[in-house]
Amino acid sequence: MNLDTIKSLLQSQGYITDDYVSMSVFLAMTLNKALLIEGPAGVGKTEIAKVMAKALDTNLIRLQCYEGLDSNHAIYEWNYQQQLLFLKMSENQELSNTNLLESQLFSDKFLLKRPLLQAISQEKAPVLLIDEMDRADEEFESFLLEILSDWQITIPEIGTIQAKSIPHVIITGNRNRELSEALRRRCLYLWIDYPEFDKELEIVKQKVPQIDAQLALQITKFMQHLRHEKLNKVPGIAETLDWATALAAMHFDHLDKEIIESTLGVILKDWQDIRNTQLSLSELMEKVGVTSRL
Amino acid sequence: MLQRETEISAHIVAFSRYLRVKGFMVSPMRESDALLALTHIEPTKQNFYLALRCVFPQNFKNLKDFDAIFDNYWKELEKGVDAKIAMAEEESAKKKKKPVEKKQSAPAFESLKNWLYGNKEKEEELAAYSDNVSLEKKDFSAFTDEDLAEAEKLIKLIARRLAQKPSRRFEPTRRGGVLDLRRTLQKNFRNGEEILFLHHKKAKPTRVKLFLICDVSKSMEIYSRFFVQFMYAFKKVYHRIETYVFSTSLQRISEELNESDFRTALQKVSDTVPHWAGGTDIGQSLQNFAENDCQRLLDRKSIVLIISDGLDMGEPELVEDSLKAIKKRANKIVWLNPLAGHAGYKPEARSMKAALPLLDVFASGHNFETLKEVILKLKV
Repeated sequence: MNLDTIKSLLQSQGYITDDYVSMSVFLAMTLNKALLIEGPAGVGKTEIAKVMAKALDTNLIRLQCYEGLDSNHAIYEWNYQQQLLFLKMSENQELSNTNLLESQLFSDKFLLKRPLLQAISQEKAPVLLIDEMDRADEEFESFLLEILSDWQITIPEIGTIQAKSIPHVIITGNRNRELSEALRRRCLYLWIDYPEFDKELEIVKQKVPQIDAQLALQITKFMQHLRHEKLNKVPGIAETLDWATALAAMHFDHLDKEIIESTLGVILKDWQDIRNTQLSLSELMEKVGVTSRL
Repeated sequence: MLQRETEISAHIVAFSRYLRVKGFMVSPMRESDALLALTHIEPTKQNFYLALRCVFPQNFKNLKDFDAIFDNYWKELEKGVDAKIAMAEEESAKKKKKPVEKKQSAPAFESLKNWLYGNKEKEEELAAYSDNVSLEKKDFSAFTDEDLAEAEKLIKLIARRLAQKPSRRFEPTRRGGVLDLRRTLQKNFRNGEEILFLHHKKAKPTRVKLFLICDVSKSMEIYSRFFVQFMYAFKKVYHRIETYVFSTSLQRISEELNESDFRTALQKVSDTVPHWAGGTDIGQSLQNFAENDCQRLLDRKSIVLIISDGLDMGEPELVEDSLKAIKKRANKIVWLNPLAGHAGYKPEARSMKAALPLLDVFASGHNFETLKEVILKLKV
């Protein structure tokens, strides 16, 4: 596998990328390192993992992080209800051998595998997406470090489970909280920013193929300018695509003030942003070069 | 061929060293990663640059700095200048620059010092009229040794009551809580199939980690002895605590405060701190903290308590930047300014002004009552 294969694999899955992104993905894979992706919301951080899984034709295992995420939800848990039932049932069978009982009670049958355990017990290396890592607390981070460096999980009742294959790990974050140096040391770092005009236009055209060429151009230009405005929540590519899809579905072939005003809610999700944009819309449209038809 | 390879590895090692000088964290592991990466790519200039850009930066700031550093280094190299010379030049340029800056700020420092001494007299005056019989209301500047012993008792009480929020992790408990099925099963199946004992768990409390950073410069002199004592007493009863003092630079004094006798501890502290009762550079000191210990020790359960009057000769921008960096990691930043307890106080000092918008709590803490109030409210 080389750099070009990765690039064309990503492209073939409809992910428009640049050299920097494909180099990061390529190196993360060849060096067997986790890839830590940071960047603003809605620029396709999570998408990379999805596309990678498709391109490599392997499973995508996703662990969504949140505050208070613990090992019960990230690694494994015992299925207590079934264990209790099993105990009740074994009463009748007069199983006198406690060791045998123990080994049955704490066997694979009653083990609920959560994402991390799932990821290391696959035959073919899956893509493990640890999404929004900055939402989980520090304890979980240090815990993850252990798995990332040794690729084994210890379950007291069973023993240590070695990874069958080493997953391709993608960790994403929004910089809500700075991740620790220790974690960063084990990862390659990739920053994805809002796309340049050309790249965004290409993405719009690819993801919304039915769109009018003129409209695509205007939408992209508008979004590029909009991101320079002072906003509480800057719209990402996801918003551009939503907007493009919506307008294309209504068979518009150009932008005008009325259309923009009535559909602002698709791209801006903050009341104050909408309000401010409405007020400065004429100015913004002038910059974009859209003339309103009267 | 072999020779070429050793050449490139030597360059990567030299480049890594250069990056370290520029504030990158480059472990030997990273260096070997970089070399490994180069074996997997087509050897073009663009690929070489991209590969190093993927491997070396570890955070957003690194990434932003990388391009300039990369250009700098390899351009110098292309010119045929030995990398080490380039580095040495850079270093010496830095060294040359610094004294010049200091000389420029010297007059400002003088005037500030004058102002500070003038101010101190006023402070003592102010301190005198708040000399209350009640210990809690007494300004720290008027504390006697007996008062201090009394204060220590109060601190013990406070430390015990330091606010605790339940976390989302669990610990076993004998009373109350919810059923812990895992432990119940583990402990019971040895008695046969019957469940005889139930085990419970309850939410583990989140324990606040405290970082006390105290200004011991000249302008704080009348307060600093008390605050060091406060840190000392606090450290005795509360273990999740790190203590620092600063004047022109930051000094961690957690070790020194471990002495069993306060007088020895105080002696040790004032011995280790180079500028006790000297000038102040809050920005520089906070930057020290943000760059070193902040990265390693701070987490979302940490509260940073800065005790300073905000009067300094440093750059307010530095204060702002460092506080921003700290804020990203810590749960809360609390600033106690003893001057703020006096009627008519306004945060006019430049560093104080720069810091204010970034603080979660700004309080005076100039007597025990206000201090107690602030500490008891500390929650993560």
